[in-house]
Amino acid sequence: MRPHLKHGLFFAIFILIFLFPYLRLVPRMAFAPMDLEYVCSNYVNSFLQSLMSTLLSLVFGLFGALGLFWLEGRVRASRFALLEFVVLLPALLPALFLVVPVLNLISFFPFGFTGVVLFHALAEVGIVALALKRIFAQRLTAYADTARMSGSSAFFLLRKTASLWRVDVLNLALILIIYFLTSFSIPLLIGGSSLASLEISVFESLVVHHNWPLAMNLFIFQCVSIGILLLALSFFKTPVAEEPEKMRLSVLENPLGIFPLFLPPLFILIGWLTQLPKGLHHLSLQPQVLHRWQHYFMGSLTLGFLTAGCVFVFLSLASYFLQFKEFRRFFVSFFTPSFVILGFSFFLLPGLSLLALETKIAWALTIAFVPTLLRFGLLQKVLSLEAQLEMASFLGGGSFYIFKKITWPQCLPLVSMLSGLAGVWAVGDFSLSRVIAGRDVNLAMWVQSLVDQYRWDMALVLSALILVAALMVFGFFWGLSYVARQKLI
Amino acid sequence: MKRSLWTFGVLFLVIIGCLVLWTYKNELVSSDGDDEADLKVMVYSGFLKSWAPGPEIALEFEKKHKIKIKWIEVNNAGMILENLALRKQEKMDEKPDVVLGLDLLSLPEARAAQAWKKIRTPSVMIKDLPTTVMTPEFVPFDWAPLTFIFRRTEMPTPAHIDDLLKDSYANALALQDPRTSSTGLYFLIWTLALKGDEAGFEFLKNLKPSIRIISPSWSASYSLFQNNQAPMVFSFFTSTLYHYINEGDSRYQPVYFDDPHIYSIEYAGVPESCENCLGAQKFVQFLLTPAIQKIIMEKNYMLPVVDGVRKGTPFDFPKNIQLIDQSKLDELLGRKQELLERWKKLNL
Repeated sequence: MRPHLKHGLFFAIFILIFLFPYLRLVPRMAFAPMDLEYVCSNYVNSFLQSLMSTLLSLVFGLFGALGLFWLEGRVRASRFALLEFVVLLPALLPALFLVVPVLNLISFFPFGFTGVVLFHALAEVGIVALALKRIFAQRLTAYADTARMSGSSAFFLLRKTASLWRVDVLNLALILIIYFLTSFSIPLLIGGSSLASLEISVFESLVVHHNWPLAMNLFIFQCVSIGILLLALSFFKTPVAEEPEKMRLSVLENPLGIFPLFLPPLFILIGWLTQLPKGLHHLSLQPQVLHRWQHYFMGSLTLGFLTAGCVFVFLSLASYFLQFKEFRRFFVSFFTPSFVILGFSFFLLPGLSLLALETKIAWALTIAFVPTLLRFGLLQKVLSLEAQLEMASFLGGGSFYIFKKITWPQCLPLVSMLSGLAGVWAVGDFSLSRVIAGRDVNLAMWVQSLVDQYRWDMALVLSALILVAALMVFGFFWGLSYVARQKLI
Repeated sequence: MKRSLWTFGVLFLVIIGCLVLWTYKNELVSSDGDDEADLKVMVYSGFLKSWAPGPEIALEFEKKHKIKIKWIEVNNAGMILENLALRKQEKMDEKPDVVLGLDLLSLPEARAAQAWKKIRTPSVMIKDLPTTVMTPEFVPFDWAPLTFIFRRTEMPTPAHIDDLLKDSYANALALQDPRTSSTGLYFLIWTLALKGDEAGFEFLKNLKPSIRIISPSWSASYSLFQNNQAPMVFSFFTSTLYHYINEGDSRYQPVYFDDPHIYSIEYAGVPESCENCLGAQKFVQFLLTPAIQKIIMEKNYMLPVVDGVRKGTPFDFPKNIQLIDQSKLDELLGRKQELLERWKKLNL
């Protein structure tokens, strides 16, 4: 299919609407001297840390994915969805809620480089396992029977089929590297200032020195370096993905995989339970803390549903534009290089009424999450429909008709699931939302405010409300995904 | 398929509609007074929590002066100047009449960024505070010296800052990164003010074995300290009072160094662009009344700036504490960027 001029214009408008806030930064660009020696050594350090964190996350995630395959074959779909939600917990709560129980329970936990790598891997194992499971299901289901009948082991199958999933995993690795490169608190908490990322220098330039040109230069440096990685990745040829059939991949099932998967949520649960009596006692002594909790709960739901809705629209439109080869390049190279800059570009947007504020936050979170979500299988999904799209186009179908009848119905289950995931992250976000809002509008920000003012134990107890709100948002979109999948079958 | 999708679509719209209506309704209720607000006060978000002094101060002020307050919330104290600059650049209508929460670290930049009105201050300031902290444009409304907090029985008490280099403090300190945390910047400035540049950086380099954690924020390091992950944390003298008053826990102790302590002061200022300048002046004066000082002391866990307020309360404790000469701080703050560059290279 070749895009029409009309589609080009439509695409440009779509991209402009989503990326408009970045344009606010253009007038703030200017040359500012940088300590290049420091920036480069800092970057090399944080890049090495990101690379190792990515490798270890992939190793843990691989075992986790095998555990997920094992679980999927043994529990009902709705219970499996709940377990998927549980493994996402470390990505949902403030990092400190995992750091503290881990440090409390493992007295010999290594600080420095090793500690940061280990911690990143622990925090992200759930999401990486889910992504890997999806990749393997998409790529290897067709080989499930042959592998089972020939008695292959999981690792034999994975080794022999590496050429099929290699690029997907590289894509995932790239997203992880970008995420770890921009990670803010873990490298500093566990690694010390030598492992601080460039993101901290961007923050320092803006908040401590109010030096926008320097922050923008660091931002551009980060963009270029990530752009080079993306360019390198584009040299790998992507094989067309197979359509996953409803078939068990029993070769890839391994019960041991559930250990790395459920270890981080277990740490959080232990931390929560140990603080529960103290937290409840202190809450009973300071009941004023609970004032307006309903307001924050509703705020979390609003942000969760709004963000999930925005992501749903973005991914649906993306799946339309991905039908055209010419537009794919944009989505493949789309990334969010700095959450600090993203937050400040929205902070600069006018519009102060509450509703506009919540919309602004949902919009910012959409830009932050979408690059990751696109690489969670949507790009591959549309590519896997290539043959159907070409046939439909050959038979005279218009691009919108093809989208309506072929692309969207098949992408809908995945788009819904990814939107639910975005909603979960939005409910748990406090950092980006806080830069934009300036005040507490959801539970995560409220809980962080309690931590900011000595009330750690109360914050931990009340974080359970975040999970309830996240579960409600996730449940809705999981339901949509489930229904869409059933109807498709 | 179509029907199911419609069901989900309608359900989604109903949920969003209800949430928006709920938020809108609540916002209307809470902003009823805001539309008629006579005074706009910009302050960091923590000051306005249900457990913080802001809401009560607004009520009392309205009761006494019949002037309603509209709070302009800012993420944190560090973002106040950025927010003011933005309002100026974007020519936003909502300009604050009063700004609360500027501190010693941000005063030079606040002065450079915009013009401020002179404020008439009463002569009731506490004697503990050096007279140099008084400025014509900014009025202090609370303060606290900074030090290390530790749990009695866990650590020997250091007398001098140099004692922290001893083996008994190995892996003991929770500090904050001065690039991302104001308490971190206070610690850096303090050591340099005590020792001078060269000896100060040498001291910090030698302090590395004693550092357990450098965190991006005060709250992160304090939470780790609360969870026994570090026996000592750099914080406010008054942090100990939170545990004593709210938790009945008297194990938390501040270190009284023989060296002069650095201190944090929160200021109020009235921008030249104020619309209700008279109300702004009244509000600043109101902050210094003993009743309001007491509210700030008890809810913000900071010391009052007015004599007599803390007498007979648990806050009446850091007596005769030595404070560092402010001229040294001003000189160091003028070179903040250079000092942070040197600090980064220590790789602590």
